[in-house]
Amino acid sequence: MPREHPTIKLTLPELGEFASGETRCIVASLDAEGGPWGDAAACAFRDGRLYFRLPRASRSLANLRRDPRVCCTLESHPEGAEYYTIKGALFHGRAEAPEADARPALKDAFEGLPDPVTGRPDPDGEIFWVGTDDVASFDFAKIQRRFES
Amino acid sequence: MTEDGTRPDAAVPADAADFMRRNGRTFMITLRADGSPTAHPMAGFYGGALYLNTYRKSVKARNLGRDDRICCVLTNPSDAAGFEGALYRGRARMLSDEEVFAPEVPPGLAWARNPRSQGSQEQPDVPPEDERRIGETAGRIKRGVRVIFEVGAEEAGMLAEVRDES
Repeated sequence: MPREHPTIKLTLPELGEFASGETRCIVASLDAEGGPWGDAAACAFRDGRLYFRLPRASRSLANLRRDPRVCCTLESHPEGAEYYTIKGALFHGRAEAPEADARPALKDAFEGLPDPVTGRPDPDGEIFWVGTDDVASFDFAKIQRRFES
Repeated sequence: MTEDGTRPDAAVPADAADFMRRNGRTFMITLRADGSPTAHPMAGFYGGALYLNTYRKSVKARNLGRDDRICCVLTNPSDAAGFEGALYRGRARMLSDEEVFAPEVPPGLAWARNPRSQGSQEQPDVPPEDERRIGETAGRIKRGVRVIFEVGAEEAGMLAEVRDES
């Protein structure tokens, strides 16, 4: 009898592999009234952390300075993609500033990543990270495999 | 009137409205029980307002049941050479079956209730329970499994225009 697999989540190694290939994320933050706000940001996954960069003038940066609660979402959804190829991950947590000794390497890593919205480099942007303690993820390919024995 | 026959929404600039009609890849930002933000990828259908179709028991629907504030970022496909995105922020309202299956509905709702219709007013075909098909949306709405939210715009625009502090 086929047995339904219990989850379509990415395992931690799968999450790392998926996130390492992504360079753009959607950043969700809270405005001054505690309402939801969104933007797009350049990102890089390293050592179990998702780093992301926000422009100095952005409302998202002002929001995170006021309240660091954040969600960064990655999704692979190419044009015309079959439903069962879509993957995604939602990183919830607090936006943390990188440690001083990590900043030079991060600056190098982000140098080649333009801001998604302007398409231009953003050397003055502020970099944050969010960890993997509270991640929701999905790999729709696992839906097809749910009833495999 | 716009191309799809709806009245232009004063809160939505024409470039953002045009972009959202062509790009349904949506990140739906809602508030979790502790007030923190979450952003779920899904499909959005713009036309008249923004319409979102989700499972009644989903985290997304539960979040909106507690707090109707919502912000959506609609983008082009993830493999596009250049990113483009629009922001659409407002409050979400769950529609009744009567509203969803009314004879004439806004184009976005026509898409959301029946994705195969491609936005026409065609009423969805609901097969009998024992002939259910994958992706059969309307039957799931009629059975109460899925629900549609209508989001009215309080603020909207291309991300490049709205992302910075004024």
